[in-house]
Amino acid sequence: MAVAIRQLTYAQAINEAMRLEMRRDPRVILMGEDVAGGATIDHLADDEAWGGVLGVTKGLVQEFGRTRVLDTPITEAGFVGAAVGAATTGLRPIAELMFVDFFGVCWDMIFDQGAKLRYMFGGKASCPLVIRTMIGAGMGAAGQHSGCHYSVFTHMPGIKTVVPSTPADAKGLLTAAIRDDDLVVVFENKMLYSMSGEVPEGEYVLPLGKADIKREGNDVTIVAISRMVHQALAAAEMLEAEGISAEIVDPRTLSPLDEETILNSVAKTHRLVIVDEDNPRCSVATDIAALAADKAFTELDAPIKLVTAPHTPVPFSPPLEQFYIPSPERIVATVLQLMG
Amino acid sequence: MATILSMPKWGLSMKTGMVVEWLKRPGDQVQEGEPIVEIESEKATNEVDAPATGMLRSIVVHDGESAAVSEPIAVIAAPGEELSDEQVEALLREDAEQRRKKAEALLKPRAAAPAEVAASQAVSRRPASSAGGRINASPAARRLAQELGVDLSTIVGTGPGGMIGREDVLQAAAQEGTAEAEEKTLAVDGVNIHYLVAGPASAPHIVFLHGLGGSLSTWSLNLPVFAEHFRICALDMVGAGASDKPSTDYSIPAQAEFLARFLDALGPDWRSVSLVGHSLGGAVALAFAQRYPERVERLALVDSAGLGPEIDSTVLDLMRSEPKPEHIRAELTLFFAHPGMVQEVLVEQILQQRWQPGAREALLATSEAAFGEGRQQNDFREMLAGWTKPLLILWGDVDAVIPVAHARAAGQGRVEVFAGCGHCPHIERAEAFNQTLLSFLSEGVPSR
Repeated sequence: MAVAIRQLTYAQAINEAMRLEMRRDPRVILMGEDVAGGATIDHLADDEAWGGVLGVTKGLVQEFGRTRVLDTPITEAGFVGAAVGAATTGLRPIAELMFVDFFGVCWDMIFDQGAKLRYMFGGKASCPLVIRTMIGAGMGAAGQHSGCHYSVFTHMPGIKTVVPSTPADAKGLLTAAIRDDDLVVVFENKMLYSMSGEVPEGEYVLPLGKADIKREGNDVTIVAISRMVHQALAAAEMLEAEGISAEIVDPRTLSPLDEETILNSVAKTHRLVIVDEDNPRCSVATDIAALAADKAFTELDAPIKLVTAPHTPVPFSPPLEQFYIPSPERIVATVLQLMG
Repeated sequence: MATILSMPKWGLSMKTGMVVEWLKRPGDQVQEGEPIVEIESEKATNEVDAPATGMLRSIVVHDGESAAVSEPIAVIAAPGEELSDEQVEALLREDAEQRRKKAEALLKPRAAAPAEVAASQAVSRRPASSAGGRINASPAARRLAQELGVDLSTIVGTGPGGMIGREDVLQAAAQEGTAEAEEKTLAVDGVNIHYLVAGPASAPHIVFLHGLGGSLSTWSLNLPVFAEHFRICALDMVGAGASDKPSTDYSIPAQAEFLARFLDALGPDWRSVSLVGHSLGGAVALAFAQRYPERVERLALVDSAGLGPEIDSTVLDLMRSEPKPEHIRAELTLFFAHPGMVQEVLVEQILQQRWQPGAREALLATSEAAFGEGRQQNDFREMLAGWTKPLLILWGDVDAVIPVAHARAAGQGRVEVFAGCGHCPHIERAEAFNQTLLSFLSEGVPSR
């Protein structure tokens, strides 16, 4: 029962979700590259184990031991495949794909195996696997460590995709993902790990497939994904000074998508802007735009606008990297353009 | 300051009225609210109250003479004010001038108004239609224009690239003759509902709900006033007036559900409304507010059912009896405090309605469902105790149908009781009723 509320970082909230679920259900295990850290290296005894490349999983191996917190070899195809197998044969594993950009290496295991087992075995098999993975630019990690790519996963039937934007959302959504009997991929924006927020204590679940309105408004609906929620909130403050009231919808889950909340918001404001850090071709942004153009056509008082990254890899050069990420200023300029 | 008494407008179709008899002579002192003249329209004869305290200085339209609605029929001087004949003439000329200007303004082409807005913003706009003839309007604007009957080709758009947006359409609709009513029928789940809409499209939306045995015409003395400020809808509830009278569930909750579907069918602009309910219509308003609180902005209840168990059984018996003039006269006598309110033209109107196919069955079914066993079957007092939005309760102090004690039953909200008035203050005290309700509905500016 969630009772008190205190401040945790996004990373701590994710850590707590896993800790509580691993206590609750012995079938939940964690596996990935250095998720415990320092496996087979003597001077890195468990007390010193660093718990993940950014320390998100620190402390778990101390409590649950190395049979439940597993450092894997550097082979995504191998350990993600093993995780799919483990899930199908009775465990409830959490596999960490360190950077989403590596998904190409294990994509067959995810989309062609894990995502399709339940369907192709007529429901006799299931794959209650959670894949946690880091996304997002801004850390100067360059082209192979900074992408988002949830659009590719969202496209595949059989994969649920989750994009928490706050510490409280991260804990509740990850808990829901672990308890879900299907393959769920949770995309954690690395720039959010140090963000603090109020997080309820104890176990709680935020339902998958339910959006959250992060700010109410009347003049324009801004659907923003993951870290872009915060860019949009900053833009909303600037727009308020211009007398424009923006409503910010955080989908929280991309597949399944909460269409109703988005469409109701568009029916209220009659204008739609979608802010997405992912590349724009065949993306979640274009998907949501098509939804609105189809189901909210007569509610639209202006064209649907997308504020996204460009169709390029993430630059290494710091000013170019900042230009790549949708900024509050760009969001404001787009809304002002819509208002005429 | 002298006051001009003008020919009133009762009902949206009234064009002229005849002065039956002046109750005061020139030189008499008059009090605001005191009956001063009897006027006859095509549908009704009524006393008109003095709009101000003072001296009846001059009669313009005499006994037996007629005048068009809103034309002056008398001049009342303020207390202590002395007016020469020339001054009276000047007043009447000025009044005529003002009315002429107002009429002209309504005739100005619609495009003029948005252009004024554009000019004040000091931005130049391209005309909305392109060379190929296709009008540059957003999908939402197109739908709204169709709903409101606005011609897109006459509108200058203020959106990007001169696109016509919703606001442009709303503004254009607001410029039109706002008091002109549209009388329509709408099918809701296969049931035809007869209703009236009028008023500026961009104003708050108000729905008027009549009581048992009534119809939308119960509101004839009120709608013209409200149509000037609000977008109003008055309907013949299912089973009443000119609406269909199917064999169905006529209980209050069912009628509230039906109302929700009717409003859904009217369009998204009727999603959030204020409700004015009389008698049984008040109970329907309460049931709707209980079920869909988010759809109700303000609630006005007039001698409403649903606030206590008592209801007069004689009135119900008369309603349920065979429709005959003497039964209807007796029924109306119980509705009004003043016997003069029971007019033959009203009896005739009601008689015709009660003889329509299915009307009597529907009335019996509604009466049974809402007031079976001689007591009210629905109680909304507890719900009202938790009601936090604006609430107005109006009652006649000698209401013989539902006791005035029920007005206080809600325990909250603004309560106004009309002295010497029966079950229908909206008819018996129309002017005071209109003023009170108007001020309640106009408090603050509800956001839309």
